[in-house]
Amino acid sequence: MPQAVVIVFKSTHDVIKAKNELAKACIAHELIPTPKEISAECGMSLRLEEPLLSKALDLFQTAGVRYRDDLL
Amino acid sequence: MKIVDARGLACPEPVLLTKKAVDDGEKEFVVLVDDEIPKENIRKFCDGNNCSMDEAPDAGGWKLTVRQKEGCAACEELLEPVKRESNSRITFIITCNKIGINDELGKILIEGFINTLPSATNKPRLVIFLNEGVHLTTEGSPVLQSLAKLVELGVEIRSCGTCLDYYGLKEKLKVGIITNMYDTVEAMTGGDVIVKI
Repeated sequence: MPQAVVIVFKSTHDVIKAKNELAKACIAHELIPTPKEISAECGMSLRLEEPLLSKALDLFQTAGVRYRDDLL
Repeated sequence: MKIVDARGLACPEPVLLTKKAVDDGEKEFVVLVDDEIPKENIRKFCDGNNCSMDEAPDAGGWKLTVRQKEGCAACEELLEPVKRESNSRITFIITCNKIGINDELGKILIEGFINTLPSATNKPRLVIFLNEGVHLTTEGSPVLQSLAKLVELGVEIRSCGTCLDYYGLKEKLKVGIITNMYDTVEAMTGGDVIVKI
């Protein structure tokens, strides 16, 4: 099974936008609470398989979704 | 042998008639049903009430033979505290496919919530989905994988049959089993801690 990556976003609105973009492109993903070791704040993140990451990031770039690239 | 004709009756009537026959002391009797949902609900009733149930096709429906098993009250009394200690006594009632009023935010909250449940320290023993909640157990739900994980971990997932029927989702149920209000009331009044979402 490929390795999973967790993407953390700058705001809840960005998570929602990101989720919609992934759904439109049929990219499998899982919405999870941001792991405590990454951020102590209450937030949501998206987990997806590593090979799908670059396509997802391209979509985010185009749609203006703000994610925490410093945590990737 | 007593025959209970429950054909054409709406839930929970077939289960109530079965329960009445058991309460009246019938050791072996037949129940006639003409729909899958009452058949499965009567099976569940039997599983939880020390009865066996055999089914046979009958005139477009089913003939269910219900037999009361001989129990040993003394053993059950001894086993009960063990059961209670080892099993969770938490039941979740999920009546919506979102948490709170805001649609957009509410949907990601419920998704995150259910995706986190499999890793919870104290998992519920039972999760019942009612009303719009049944959108979470049926085709197209974003949390099917997590619900399947919960089932693997021993959590019972039940969806309200009336609600599935209302939304035209009966054939699209992907995880867990169909339940009725009789079962739901039993679960809610059985002494569990109830968490409603």
